Amino acid sequence: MAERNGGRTLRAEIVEALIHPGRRFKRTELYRSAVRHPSPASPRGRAMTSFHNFFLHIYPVKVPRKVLSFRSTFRLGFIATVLFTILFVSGMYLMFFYHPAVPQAYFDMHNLATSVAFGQFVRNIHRWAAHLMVLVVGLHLLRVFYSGAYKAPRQFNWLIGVALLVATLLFSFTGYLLPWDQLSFWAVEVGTSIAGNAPILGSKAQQILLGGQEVGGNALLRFYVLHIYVLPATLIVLLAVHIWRVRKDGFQVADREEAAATITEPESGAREEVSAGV
Amino acid sequence: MSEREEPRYRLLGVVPHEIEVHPAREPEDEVFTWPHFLVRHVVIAGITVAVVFALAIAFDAPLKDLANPNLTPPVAKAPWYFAGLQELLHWFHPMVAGVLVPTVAVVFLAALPFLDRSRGWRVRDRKLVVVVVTALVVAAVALTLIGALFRGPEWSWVWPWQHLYLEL
Ligand code: HEM
Repeated sequence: MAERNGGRTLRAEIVEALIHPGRRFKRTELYRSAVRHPSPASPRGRAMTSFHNFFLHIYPVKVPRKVLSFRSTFRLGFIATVLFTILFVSGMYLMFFYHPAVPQAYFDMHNLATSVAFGQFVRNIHRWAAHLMVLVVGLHLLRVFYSGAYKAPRQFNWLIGVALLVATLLFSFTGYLLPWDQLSFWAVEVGTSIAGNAPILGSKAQQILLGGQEVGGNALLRFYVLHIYVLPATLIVLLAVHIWRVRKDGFQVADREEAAATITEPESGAREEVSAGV
Repeated sequence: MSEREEPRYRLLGVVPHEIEVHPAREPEDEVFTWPHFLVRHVVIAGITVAVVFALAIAFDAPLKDLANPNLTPPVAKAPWYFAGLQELLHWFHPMVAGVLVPTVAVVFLAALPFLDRSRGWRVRDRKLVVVVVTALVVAAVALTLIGALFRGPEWSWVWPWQHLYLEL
């Protein structure tokens, strides 16, 4: 058993493990079964890194050089994604200490502040990230509009975007009720009484949303389920499609010069020969 | 393996010129995502997390008294992003401000790429749609600011420097 793979002696292995534990670890079967691409030091390595990593697969292997400029997208869609991730993680922590029941929900807020480790801090993170997300999604929409990125072939992704915007607003609004204090109660009272005004379906919609005639325990439970189950599932699926489409269509910034270079008005009857290698 | 042959070409067809032929992007115009693009994303993500943490350290999330359906507070405001709608509600019938306007707004937004028949992505190529949307955005932002910052008890006008009735 003195000879190991690569012809190293057991002693050399131990010495390497002590001096270069990282390098030794990268040669283990465990590491090599998880990370199957070569080192991203060469162009081939970089391409392989993208092909072999699930998370990097969200990105194309190569991106247009222009998208490296901050002003190409102002990174607003990406910032919205980061904020959503922050909300997902901080929200999970809060769920451990929250009961969607009247009036326990309110006391849980006090509990978070007084007797949960980092409870108030995590609640603050969740709240400010939520406000920022609404703002950033709004700015992202404006960026997409003013750069003309909603046009063909990206019309459908714009539609998905509108659905994401609505989901974001509903997220924020359902979350607003959960602390069950005077602020959340009356904000939601104002908001949902509007729904009751819709013709025919209005009172029905209000009834379904609140689980009764007024904002009470049933409404709290429904808002909670929407907030921690229905909306996250919806938003994650929509976001996956949204980002996948960005990848498929390419960043719009790359089309800008091409569009300018394309001759828009061909001579009438102009023909082009299409040929292909055989 | 045979020797490398010269490629031979054959005419496959004749198509109208208008058909969009996307010229293949020059390879020099593209860079590897890893590391060039990824590094930028890591930096932006770090800044975003830092900003949220700083806000969370500096400001506590609000918590008022226990909800009480029998005690209407002097100002009952919707969250800030709905303050514009609440401002509209002050001026128009709830059917209009609460139902019609938001529905039309969302439908208009969704339909925008299909309504806009202009060609080209530059602002000067699509003046009409840019003017219309900008006017709507300015109106929405103005209504939101008024509702969020300039309204007090009974939806009366209060200058924000006199008293700011804004809860986040
Ligand atoms: C939860 C909300 C949203 C998230 C997390 C999100 C995320 C993203 C991301 C990461 C990108 C890549 C480019 C960039 O960073 O700008 C993107 C592009 C895009 N988004 Fe969104 N988005 C959201 C909402 C919206 C909304 C509200 C719209 C419009 C109504 C929209 C329309 C688009 C379009 C058309 C693109 C392609 C733009 C291009 O290729 O330059 N998205 N989005």
